[in-house]
Amino acid sequence: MTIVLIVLYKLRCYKVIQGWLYVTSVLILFFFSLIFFGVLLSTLNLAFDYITMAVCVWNFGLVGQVAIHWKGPLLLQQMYLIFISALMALVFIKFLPEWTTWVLLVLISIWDLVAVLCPKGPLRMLVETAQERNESLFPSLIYSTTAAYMSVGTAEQPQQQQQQQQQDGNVSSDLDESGSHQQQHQAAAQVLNGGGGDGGEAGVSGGHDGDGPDAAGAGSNGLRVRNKAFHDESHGVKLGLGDFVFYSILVGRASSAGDWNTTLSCYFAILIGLSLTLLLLAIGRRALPALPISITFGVIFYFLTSLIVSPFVDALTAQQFFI
Amino acid sequence: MTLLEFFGCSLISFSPALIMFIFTVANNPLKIIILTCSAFFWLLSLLLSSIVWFAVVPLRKQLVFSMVVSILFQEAIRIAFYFFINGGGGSSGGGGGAAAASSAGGSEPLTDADQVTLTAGTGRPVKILHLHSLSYVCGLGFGFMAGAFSMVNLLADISGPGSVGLGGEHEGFLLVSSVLALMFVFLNICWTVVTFVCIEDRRLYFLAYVWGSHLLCSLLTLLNSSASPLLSLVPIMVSLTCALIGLLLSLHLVEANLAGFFTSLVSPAWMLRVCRR
Repeated sequence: MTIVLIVLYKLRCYKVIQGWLYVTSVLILFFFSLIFFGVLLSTLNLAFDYITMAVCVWNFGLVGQVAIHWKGPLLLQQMYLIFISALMALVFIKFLPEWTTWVLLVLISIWDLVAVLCPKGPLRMLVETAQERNESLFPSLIYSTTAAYMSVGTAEQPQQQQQQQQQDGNVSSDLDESGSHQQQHQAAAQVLNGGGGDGGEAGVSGGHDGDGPDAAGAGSNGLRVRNKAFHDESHGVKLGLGDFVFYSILVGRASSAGDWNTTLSCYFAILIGLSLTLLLLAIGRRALPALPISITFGVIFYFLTSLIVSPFVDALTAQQFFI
Repeated sequence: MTLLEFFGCSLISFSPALIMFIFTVANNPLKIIILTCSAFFWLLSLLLSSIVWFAVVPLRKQLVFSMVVSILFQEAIRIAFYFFINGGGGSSGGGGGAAAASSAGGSEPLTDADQVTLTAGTGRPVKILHLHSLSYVCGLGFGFMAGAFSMVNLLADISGPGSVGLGGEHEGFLLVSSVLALMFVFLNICWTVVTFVCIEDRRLYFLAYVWGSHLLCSLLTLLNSSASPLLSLVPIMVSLTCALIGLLLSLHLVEANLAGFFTSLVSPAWMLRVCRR
């Protein structure tokens, strides 16, 4: 899938990729959400008629499409991105047997490591191609802390913005950091995001950030406060949605074991893995895979906690002994 | 009824920590990262102590042994965390903090001095957070994790049908657990502040207070038998006293103005501003 995307990207079939992107997000925002809400309602034993459901899902999905692919409040976009990642993760957790999930996680993080760091790795080639073409990232499938400012600022290249690919299964994901404006390609540390072709252009986006005041004037960013864009120019961090999906799969699988101690420890292990990756990003200043460290920590902590820590803590809590 | 109890117990245990988080930590991304880090370190100490519990098979039923071991590990990890965060002690350092700040900067505008030092190539990283707020945040992380691990399974069980004694215990079981979790959150904050400031100032005798009160409060919870709820008052009261002593001690060590501190706790911001003039 990744190779297909890279081929498409190299052949400049942007419309194909964009169409693919739209179709997958429509699928998730409308149909998967419908199924999800249906299951939720039946679990809570609530009665709900089809007409209201149709209206609600229609509105929900449409606002999601607009927020993700076009303009919208940053918080709304982030929430929708998180929602669709969680939904994708739910699909995996529900339909895969337990051991398959764990093996999948481990294999995906190894793949991620290989794809991003090896010189001939597909994702690395993608980054370099995107850098050569001086194209910008697009906001729809990257979770970014300052996306709105950057995406709206790049008004001159609306087509090239939508080149990311939604993941359909195996995705490798990476972190991305928008560097300071002048040193785009060199200084910008990028972490690619899987789902295939990610033109991880943190640098270029960072550049647009730097031109914030100018581009904002030229572009359509009338809503955003320019001071804020200027302030945040070198602090944005981009994380691919594939990362979210796999983190969610890990925590979801941990929580389906029923023990909250395990869930908590996996959650914190992933957070620490992410912090470590960000640290490496700040030091290394290049594209980095976001999955390996977090997933390794998560998997190790899952097994250690469920086998060793949980019995200990349960023994203590049952007798109300506090440590 | 059960959901009510769930919210009640969870708020008893965690609402002070939550409020402290919202008002002091939430707007500062670096503090959030340090909070997560310290929670993780507590988790590490728990992991180490459970490995010891697991390994020493004959003593598995005697939880006293593993509790003492766990307390020792926790204190060791607290001290280790000080050195981890401060990069070898002293007034400079904070290597981890500095790098995290540069990558996760976010909305906090750094002061010019910090910015200059960070961007000045390699050089010694500058301490971004003052030691006092750093130790407070770490204590919050430790305490939150400690409380969470003791409460969270209980809370999950409460939200289902039927509670009160939860499997044959006395009716105050949940209340005792929640209140003790609350105490331990506070205690962890005080212990961490005292530990960090002690190591920094090299006045190591206050560590005796930390270790002593931790052992005391923890081993007193052994009195929480299933027979009588009244006996559980002992650990609760003792923990409360230790928490208050810890609070006063930590305030003394950071040289805070006691009167000012307590006034600021109860006064709204505008009143403080007026008084300052």
